[in-house]
Amino acid sequence: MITKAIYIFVLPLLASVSLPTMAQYEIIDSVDYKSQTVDVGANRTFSREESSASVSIVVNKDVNRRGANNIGNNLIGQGNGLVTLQGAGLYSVANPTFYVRGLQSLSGSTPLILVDGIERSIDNVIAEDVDNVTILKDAAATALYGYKGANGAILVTTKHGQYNTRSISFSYDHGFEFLTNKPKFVDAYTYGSAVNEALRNEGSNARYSEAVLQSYRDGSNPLYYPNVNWVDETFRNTGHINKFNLEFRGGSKNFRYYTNLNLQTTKGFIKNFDINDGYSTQDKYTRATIRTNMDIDLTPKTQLHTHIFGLLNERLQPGSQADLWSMVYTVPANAFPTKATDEIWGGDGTYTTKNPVAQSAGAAYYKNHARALYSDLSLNQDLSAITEGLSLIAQLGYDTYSNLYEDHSHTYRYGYYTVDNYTGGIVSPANATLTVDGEDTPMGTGANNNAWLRRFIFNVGFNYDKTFGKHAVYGQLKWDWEYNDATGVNTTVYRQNYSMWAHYGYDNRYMADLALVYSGSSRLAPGTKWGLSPTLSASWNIHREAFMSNVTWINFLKLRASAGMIQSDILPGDNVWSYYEQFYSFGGSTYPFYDYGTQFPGTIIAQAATVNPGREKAMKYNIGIDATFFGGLNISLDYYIQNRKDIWVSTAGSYTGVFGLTTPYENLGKVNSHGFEASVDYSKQLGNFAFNIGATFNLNKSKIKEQAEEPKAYSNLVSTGLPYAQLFGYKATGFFQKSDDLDGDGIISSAEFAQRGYPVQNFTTVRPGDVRYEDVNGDGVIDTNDQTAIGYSTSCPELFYTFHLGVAYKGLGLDATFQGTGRYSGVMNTNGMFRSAVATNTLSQYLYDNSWSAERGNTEGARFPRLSTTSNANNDVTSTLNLFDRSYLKLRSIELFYNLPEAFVQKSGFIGKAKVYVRGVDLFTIDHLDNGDAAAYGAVMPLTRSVQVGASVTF
Amino acid sequence: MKLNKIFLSVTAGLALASCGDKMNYHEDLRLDHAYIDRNFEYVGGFMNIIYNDLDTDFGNFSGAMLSSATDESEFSTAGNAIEDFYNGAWSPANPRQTIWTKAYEGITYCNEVLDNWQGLTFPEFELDQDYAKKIHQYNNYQYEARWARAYYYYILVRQYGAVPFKTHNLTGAEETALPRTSADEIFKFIDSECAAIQNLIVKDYTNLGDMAYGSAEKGRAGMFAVMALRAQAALYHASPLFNTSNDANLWYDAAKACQALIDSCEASGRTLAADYSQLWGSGEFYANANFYNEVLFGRRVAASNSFEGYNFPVGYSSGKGGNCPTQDLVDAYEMTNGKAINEEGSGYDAQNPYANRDPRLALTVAVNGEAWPTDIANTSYTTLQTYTGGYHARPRTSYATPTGYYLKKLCNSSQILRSGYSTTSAHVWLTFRVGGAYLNYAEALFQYFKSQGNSNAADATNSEFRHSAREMASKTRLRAGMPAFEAGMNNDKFWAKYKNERRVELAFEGHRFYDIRRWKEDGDKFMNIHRAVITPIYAEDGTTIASYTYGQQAVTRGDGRWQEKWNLFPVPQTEIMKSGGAMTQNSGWE
Repeated sequence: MITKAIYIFVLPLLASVSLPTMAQYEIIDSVDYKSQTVDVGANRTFSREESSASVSIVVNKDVNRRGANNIGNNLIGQGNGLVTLQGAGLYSVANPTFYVRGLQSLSGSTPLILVDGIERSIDNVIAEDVDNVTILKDAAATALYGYKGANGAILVTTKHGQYNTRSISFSYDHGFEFLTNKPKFVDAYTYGSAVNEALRNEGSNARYSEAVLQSYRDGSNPLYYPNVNWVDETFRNTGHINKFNLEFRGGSKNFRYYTNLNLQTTKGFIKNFDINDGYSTQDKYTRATIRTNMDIDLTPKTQLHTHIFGLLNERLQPGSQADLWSMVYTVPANAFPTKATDEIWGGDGTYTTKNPVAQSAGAAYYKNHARALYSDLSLNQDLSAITEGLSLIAQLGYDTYSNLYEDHSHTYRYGYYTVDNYTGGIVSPANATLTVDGEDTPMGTGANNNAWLRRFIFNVGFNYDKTFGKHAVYGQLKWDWEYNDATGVNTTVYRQNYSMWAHYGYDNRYMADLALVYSGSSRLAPGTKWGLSPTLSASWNIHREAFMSNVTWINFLKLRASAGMIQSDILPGDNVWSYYEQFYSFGGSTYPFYDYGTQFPGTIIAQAATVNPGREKAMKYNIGIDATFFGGLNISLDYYIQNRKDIWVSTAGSYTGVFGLTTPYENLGKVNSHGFEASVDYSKQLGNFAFNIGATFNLNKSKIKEQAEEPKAYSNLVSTGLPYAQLFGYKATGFFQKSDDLDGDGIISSAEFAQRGYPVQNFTTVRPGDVRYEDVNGDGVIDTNDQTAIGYSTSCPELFYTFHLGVAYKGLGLDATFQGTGRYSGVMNTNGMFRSAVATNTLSQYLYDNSWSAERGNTEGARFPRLSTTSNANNDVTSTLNLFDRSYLKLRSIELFYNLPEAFVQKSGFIGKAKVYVRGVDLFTIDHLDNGDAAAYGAVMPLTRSVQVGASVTF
Repeated sequence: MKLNKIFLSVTAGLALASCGDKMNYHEDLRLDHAYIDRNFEYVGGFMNIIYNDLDTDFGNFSGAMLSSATDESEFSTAGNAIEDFYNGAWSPANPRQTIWTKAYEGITYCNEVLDNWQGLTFPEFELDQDYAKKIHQYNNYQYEARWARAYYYYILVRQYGAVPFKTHNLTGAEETALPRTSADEIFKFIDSECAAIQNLIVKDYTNLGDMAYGSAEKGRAGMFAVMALRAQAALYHASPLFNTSNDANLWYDAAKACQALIDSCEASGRTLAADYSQLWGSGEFYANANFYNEVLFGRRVAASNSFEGYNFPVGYSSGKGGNCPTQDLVDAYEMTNGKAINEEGSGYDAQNPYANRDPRLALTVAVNGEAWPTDIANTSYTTLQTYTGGYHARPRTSYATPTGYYLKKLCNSSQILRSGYSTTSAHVWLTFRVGGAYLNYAEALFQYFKSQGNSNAADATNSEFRHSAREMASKTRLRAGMPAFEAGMNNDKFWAKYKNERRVELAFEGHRFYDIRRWKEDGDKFMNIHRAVITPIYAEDGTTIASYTYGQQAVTRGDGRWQEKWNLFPVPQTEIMKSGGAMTQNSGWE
């Protein structure tokens, strides 16, 4: 397989030396803007010109710009109106967070994700299978999804074949992933000095003697006074990804097919993966998928469509699924050696099994296997025999997914050395005491099924589609049935929709759509299960008006507006089903009434019942313009207002503790949001030269109107009236200096506060180098009441933008995508990296260099407070000191590609087209975080950069 | 057309089959009243919640006990929330409430049991041979619930004074609008409830006679728990914090309640355990009859080692140091001759400070050089090194004891924390015990006679009170092997000796935090504590320690001054605001 891949890779490279005879222009979309297909879930698609919904479409040429493991990660930086926030973590599990139009509700803002019209995970949908991704934004776009559409939707549509064509293509990609943002922690000597400094800061004696520090520095006693760079000992810099893809696509007179086989293997960053005989502990991921989409014309009036997708994957990790990154963020360089003896790993009483090297190499492995079969079938019967334009549609879908794990982890012995009264020189083993803990256990044998999903959908409906002169009418009556069952209890949901959808168009100029969806859900309280969601939308194709016939530079100009109320079956709290009646439950702790033996469980008065249960509702309003000018300048502008009401909230803020029970949920919450979206895209072809340039800009703002918030003593503490997820913290005004310690005892006492004229600040004992805060409420005391809104949200940026550029000359092309955020905040609160608790945590070089230190003369320019041995209630709080502007701009992808001249490759007799490319992903970032990546920071695996090379041939 | 017909009939059939009841599908067990009232144990399950809501203090602040806000101990990890009690960060906005929520939850459950779950007959079980015995136990739930409710009001009034008062559950809005009922009325309610139920409730769950079945449920509250609550609440009611007019009748009532308890105990053989350390100690100690003799009500907790994890020495496995006894507490233990260490002729040797001391010291405090806990023998450092620079001390080990001592009391010395070998064992919070009852009685008697103008109140007796305060205050001393208090002490001297005895005997049992407050005396002692500074003197080889010198280091907490308002907790600010002003704040905290 590999040799063949290399052959296929090398052959076109050699061929590329000669000049092309014909070029393809992949940077320009083959479909013009007004003809793009809009799918709002009716049994018929519309052209953008016909539709009155607000949607944006990520077309096929853009869905694989990043070469990521699934379509979700490929969407980062694509799509207007979609906020994609990259997730951190292992390659196999990192998935972005999506928001369609930002944060919208107290109950969460997760959009509905659909693959071929059915709610499905996109984690295993590969970019090669995807024809386009549509972002459904306004009420008109999501109305037909009933209770599930309130937060917008992302619709992934897979590829289908075409009549009377045939193509086979093969591609191979190799990706090199680089761990470029590895955290840098201090060495043992610096760590020891820092602990001593922190102790002196607290008025205590130093812990490490000069002799010990010297031993750390010169490395003379690596076993007894170790100096381990855990990051470099645990991780290597490069990971590898291989992808093989084989696609068959085509059709005959009454049959169309698309079949794709995809195999992906990745190897991660574990450095010591191969020290065990017979097995590897590398972080490895292997996935095979097969997809077959068929469209069969059974009779001239009957069509059958199928989507079948199968998945197998295997994920191998070091034993116990250990979070190695949190370990390297915790264990200092001097804690213990990697290994205490040949048999015994390093580890001590404080950090026990947090030795990342031991955990990555000495704890065996853990495997997950997932398998899935997703399938759906739909039948379309023309009923024109009954009346012209009538047809019947029925669809059946069944999805199943399960994950198995095999836990082959084992534990190990660990130990460390202590040396008494060391005065320098080489320690004799006789003077060192080895303390050993833990035990060597055999490899585990646990295995089970720990996650599954079953989903069944069925729908049947009648469509009426007819044009009478200038009047185009489309109507649909449909009944939908859905059954969902996932791992766990209370995960089974039944839903139904009775929907009536009507589209009317006059002369292709005036369009109106009406959706009336009556939805039911088993999740909701009796009497509230069923609700009607009506949506009305209209549009006007101005370019088709007679008065525009002379304006040739306007190719397409559409004005559209929509208004709708989308109801939702979101449950209160964390999926609480039993909110509507007073129930009891068993559980809680037993009480040892007997001296021995089993005790019976407690009987709990469950959450007090909701008095008048209801449903969360989204009132959505949208106006927009879609246009094409000068034959290639596509513009889309949208302004929306959304008022959420009847959001479930706990009434804990309303009732005192005297109530004694868990307070009921009520439909009291209200959140308003509004925003603006713009996209501009210009494509032009001039002979052999083509270019495309475009940008999107999204601004999404929210405001909590009502949330039954607990009364607050000071207005600065109130979050009602502010954006949802607004960050709160203290306002830092600098550091206490030595000059504030008037009596020189190392402590700034309340008397000294008074003498200096500062407000009293007593989270804990205050010392020079601690952070000073502003008395926001003016009561003369700095306490929790002085927190106030600072920065923006840490969960979703208000501003999200992208821009891209592509140029091509003959077969050679370059394409780049940038993505940025704004009005977005982060808090530097990672222990070890930005916060010191030196005695029980490692310390980053960055924090060491930038912390306030009288000893090291860094008192004026410091960014962080003094080093402290333990967490510090005064310094370790969210404040403007550790707040940072999380705006960033990233080069999401840059690709150089070459389409080999078709005339040349076709000489081979069997190759139709060939392409080679080299691509860089996330190569470059501008942000405001000095040490780390603003997109994903903290004790997590750093985001990677990757370089991919690949080739594809079509036969 | 044929296909159409098949299609239509299939879809119509499916549509009919699948609508309807699936919309009412749910997976959770939704238990209503009719489900619960079928079974003894389902109803009995409410009592679990009620008992579990009773307070303990095995380190409610991330391991810190309220004792670390007193002069009993200092918490080894700086920055713990316990510091708020003395550094000034304690405020209505930061109320450090420990019981407010749980007590009201408990009261709500008690009301529920009393109002909605009485008079059941469980007919399904009528033919059960234990039916009568189970009904007997069930019929006692009402008295246990009334006792527990009174107890919750006692811990509430002890912390807050006046509190919102409910004996039936109302709606959230109604209960939120409840004003605070005065401390005096709360105390009167506790007294009247106890009086009403003390002769109705089961006297002793160890001895149910004909009604015994299965294992004895000795963890339940019986008559002694009721009488002990009544006596202790009466003592609090009479104390200066609540008895603002210094009403001698309250001292009389307290003495009578204490007397009734002691008389009942003595009549029933409920006496001091033979050995002080049997009150906690190892394994399933609460099955020990000796323990059960003394403990009138113990709040049991499930087997665990978290208390040892919090308090075992740092350096021993995962021991966290925790609540480290202060030098002040250590100094409070007298010499075996009954003299305080600083008294003339005590024989105290400052350089051999732990010799010839009250035996309770060695049972309460772990000192330098001691092999504590037992499992330390299996580690690299087999005895405690709490001297400066020692393995279990600072600065060598972070979070190690700041005071030079580790806590032994309430810890199970045989608990093992080492991974792979770790053990767990039962613990009991000593809510009421005979030792405390004697001391309460002594205090009530002394204060009563003192209020009658007696200048030798410690020795006073009369026809009603035939035992003297001195006699009662000596009981716990005699059990420990210490001499009884001498006769003839004047009131001031006895009061000082009494306070010291109470401090020593009841150390770490959660009393001192509240005693200082109700007495309105000695608060400054909490603000100025002392640590031991143990300095090793090396032998000539430079590595072996020949001896130690013992010094002290004074520690000032906050500004070193006690504040009057700290005698009561602040009512949480949010509760006052939610109540729309129906609740008011305690004085000094506004």
